[in-house]
Amino acid sequence: MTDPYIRFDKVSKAFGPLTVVDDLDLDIARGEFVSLLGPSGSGKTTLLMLLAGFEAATKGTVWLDGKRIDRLPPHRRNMGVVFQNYALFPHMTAAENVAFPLQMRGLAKPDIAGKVQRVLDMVQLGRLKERRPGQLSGGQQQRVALARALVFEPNVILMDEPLGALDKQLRMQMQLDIRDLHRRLGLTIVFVTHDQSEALTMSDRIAVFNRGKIEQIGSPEEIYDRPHTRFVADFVGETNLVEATVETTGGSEATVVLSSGKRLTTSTDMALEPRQKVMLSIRPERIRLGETSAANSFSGRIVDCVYHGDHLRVMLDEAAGGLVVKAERSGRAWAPGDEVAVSFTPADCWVVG
Amino acid sequence: MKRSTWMAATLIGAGLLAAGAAPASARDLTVVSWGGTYQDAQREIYFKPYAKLTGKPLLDESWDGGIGVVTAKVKAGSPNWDVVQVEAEELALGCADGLYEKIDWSKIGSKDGFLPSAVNECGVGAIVWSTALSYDADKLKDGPKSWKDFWDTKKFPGKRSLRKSAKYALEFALMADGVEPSKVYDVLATPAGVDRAFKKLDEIKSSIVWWESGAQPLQLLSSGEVVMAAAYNGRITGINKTEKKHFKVVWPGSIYAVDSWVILKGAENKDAGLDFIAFASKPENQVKLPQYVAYGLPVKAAAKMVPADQQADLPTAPENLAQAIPINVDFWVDNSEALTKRFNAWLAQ
Amino acid sequence: MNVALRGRLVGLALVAPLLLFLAGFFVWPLVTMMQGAVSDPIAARTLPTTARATANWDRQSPPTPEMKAALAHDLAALKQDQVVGDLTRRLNSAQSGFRTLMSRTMSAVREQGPDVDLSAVDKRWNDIKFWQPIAEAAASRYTDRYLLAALDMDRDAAGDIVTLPESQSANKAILARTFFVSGLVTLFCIVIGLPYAMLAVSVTGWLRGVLLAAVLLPLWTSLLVRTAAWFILLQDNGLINRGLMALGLIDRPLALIFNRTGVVIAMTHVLLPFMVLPIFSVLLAVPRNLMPAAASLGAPPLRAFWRVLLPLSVRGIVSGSLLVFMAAIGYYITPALIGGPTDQMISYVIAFYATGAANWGMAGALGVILLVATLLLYAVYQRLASDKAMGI
Repeated sequence: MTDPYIRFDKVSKAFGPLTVVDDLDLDIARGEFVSLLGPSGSGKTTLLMLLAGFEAATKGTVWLDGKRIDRLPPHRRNMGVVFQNYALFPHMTAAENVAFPLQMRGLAKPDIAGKVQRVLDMVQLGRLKERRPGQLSGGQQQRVALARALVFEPNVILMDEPLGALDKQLRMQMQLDIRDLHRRLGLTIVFVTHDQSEALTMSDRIAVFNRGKIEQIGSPEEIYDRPHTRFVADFVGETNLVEATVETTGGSEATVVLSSGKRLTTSTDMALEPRQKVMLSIRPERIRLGETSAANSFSGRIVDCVYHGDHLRVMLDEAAGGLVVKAERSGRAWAPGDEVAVSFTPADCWVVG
Repeated sequence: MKRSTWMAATLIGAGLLAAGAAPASARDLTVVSWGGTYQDAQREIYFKPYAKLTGKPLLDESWDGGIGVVTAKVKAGSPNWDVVQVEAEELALGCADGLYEKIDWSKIGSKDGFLPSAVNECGVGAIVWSTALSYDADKLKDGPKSWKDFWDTKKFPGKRSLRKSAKYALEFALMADGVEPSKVYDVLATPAGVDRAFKKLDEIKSSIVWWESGAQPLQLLSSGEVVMAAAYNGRITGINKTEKKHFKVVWPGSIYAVDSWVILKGAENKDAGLDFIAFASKPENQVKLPQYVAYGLPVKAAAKMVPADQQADLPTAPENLAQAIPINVDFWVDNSEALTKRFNAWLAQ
Repeated sequence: MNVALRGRLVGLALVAPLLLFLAGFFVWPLVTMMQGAVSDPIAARTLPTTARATANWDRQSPPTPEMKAALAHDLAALKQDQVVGDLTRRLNSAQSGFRTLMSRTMSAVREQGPDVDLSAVDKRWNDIKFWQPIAEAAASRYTDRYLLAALDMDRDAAGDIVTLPESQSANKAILARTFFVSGLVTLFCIVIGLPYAMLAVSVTGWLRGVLLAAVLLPLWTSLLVRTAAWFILLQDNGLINRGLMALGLIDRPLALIFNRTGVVIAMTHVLLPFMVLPIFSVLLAVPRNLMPAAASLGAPPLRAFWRVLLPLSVRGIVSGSLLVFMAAIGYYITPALIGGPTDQMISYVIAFYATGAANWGMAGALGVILLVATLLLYAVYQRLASDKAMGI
């Protein structure tokens, strides 16, 4: 990897006795879309604020394009920030809002007008440019905020839960729009969210935050399929967490024993020792019911069965590890009390440590 | 809430309102004076003993004067004051305008027992007081002797203080300009005399700090803000006593006046008020006043009983009266409004 | 329909106390004041015969015997002292000397009856100076003399309007000064109040409480106490001067009291809450992330303030300024105690006419002039404010 575009080097931030960002390292490459994902209070927004310059790090350094920036005031960092609730200036029209950063950079009036028109057209708001934020819908305000952050061609775009206030349909549309802009313009984007599906949809890489530290960083697939920790497995998507004891190990596979005595073959990227207590993550949608083809298979009894539209949630009894299964509707009709065969591949039974 | 409960609540509320708004049965006798230490003294020697004597409560309030205040109270009907102590000018104006009850002198005593200026068909004299030149003898060893000295900013550098009114300021200016005290009002009655007084005031206009309430000139003298001031004599003696100051009163060129008790027209307690005035005019009661404040007594018998050491501080002591003049009430009744207007305009320039 | 009508009646009943209050304590006094400024019924009512007798008088030639007889006749008919008092006060305010003249004349009329010879009672009755006001006052129940006088004008003997020299009447100058001082106080309140409000908004918890309490405290103390406190602080050997001298910053006391400096300082202090609170409440509603947003878009702090926070504070500044300015116009105790003679405000003059001289016509006229001037200023201001188009 070449020198990273953005680098956090052993950065800590404390508010009084409370440490919010704890000795954190993070590298981001030029043109990358990185999501900072985590529950509220995990330090992801604070990290964004450190990058934008609204907060000063207690320890450590922040670099941009090989230059140290942690002492630079925010107005000299040239970063486009899209805030939660947009932070549009209520006394200016959409066009004036978008023109603001250009005026601050001392551009000539005709240049400003041209750029403003172009970027507003790009977010499909060319017709509404004379409206004030109060006269725009949430989605439109969101586009103005985006246009305002893009118009001055900043080094980086920072987004702090920008879609949180939108309804579901609009949010999904905006997710695609932003991903599209990212690809089209080759932007470097740091995106803060607590919504795992949003992070999975949009990101090149996801950094999962917990208590001021990054628990795991990687592509959406890595984060979802090969979580390193129980926290990541649980926070990103839904999973069954099962305790087990290692029996034998070999390469990327291991044999473990459940408390019920069942033996399972699992995959792992950790070095495991026999008799080590581990936690397994088995995604509910990867479990097959009524099949015995896969390496791990056993039978269990259905305790409950809940209709969810596109799928059924099937709860199994203790003998089957109390697993929750997302079963396809197209399959058989299951009912509580049924004896059923349960199976999943070793790849879908992941040791999270 | 149910309708009946609403009704009950409304009725109770209305009842409370009615109780609050009901006319208080018979207001207590209310006496109004000038406040401060003077009224404190009056409370000790007049108000409390009178209340004790009659067994009825007596309310005392204070005011800052102004015929407009009295006019407003009387014109509004059934004034909430009964007995008021007023200045001579307010006595004359209010009496002419019918704002006061006529005094039944048979209830008060012989008119001959009073100083002539204390006898009026609408009022009974309460005190004789002076406005005089005063300075701090601790700060000025060889102090001013006259209004000429007051105007002499070379000999006595520093600010001086006068009451913010045409009354007194114009008289003192003429005296400083060499007019004999006894001729002051003759000169002031002519337009040329008024111009002359204002011209004289122009000479020290930038050095004057104007005061409005009687306590101010003493504060100004105490703090050293001014070197001399026109002040009320009773206040000067009072502060000498209470704060161990050595403020001197320059009696020559002082102007004395009589304050009187009046009863407001249509006052609810006018009979009790007259009785109170009679009580306050008894020599044995009045004679106690000078030990609190150095004001002269209009009742001759009382004035005679004042001990010699207190006598020297009173405006009515013969040597103090010698070069003093009485305020010319008629002049000010006629000219107050016009001269005040001009005075304010002059001040504002 | 019935329901709607009933709803409207209930609504009316609910606002009835407010309407009654407004009518009783706002509209009525205002109307009375305006009426008092122009109504002048006393002479016309009490001197009907004289009014007829002087109707055709040219106001320049000596008074005729008929006029004197008519006046004596009218005066003899007056039985009530208070009516005589009102008449006397009205005439004396136009011409000094009527006080003594009237009291002498009234006792003569009451002793000798309506046929008394006025010239014999007092030779001033031969002087047209004393007849002109009577003729003028008796002619009409309404007058413009109070309004004219409030603007330093008068009618001369011929009835033409003349402007009085400033040495005689200084109402216009005092009025101008009132607006000037009020404007100055408003300006200082903005200069101090705006940063103060911003500071109060930016902090939280007990610190904000302390800041707000500090600015509210003056409202909870008596005006006189506050003014007296300023007196102690500002005088020549007061705390401020002694402190500055002890620090060696000055070697002679600064003149802080009995001049305009003191008045502006003290009034700014007293009126500051009325500026801080509206700005504070407006700023409180401004999203907290606008200033960071401006910074991220490349605005240095000062420009961010100028382009974002200041425009958003404008509504608070506007309402604060109105409150402060309107309150300042009515001040007179503070200027009277802390100011010099050239710092008196118009309320002082109004108070003199209302309580000192019982000349309510004049007090009303000055009040009307003040009201009109204020409304004019307000209209101008509204225009300016709406041009800025603060349609947030």
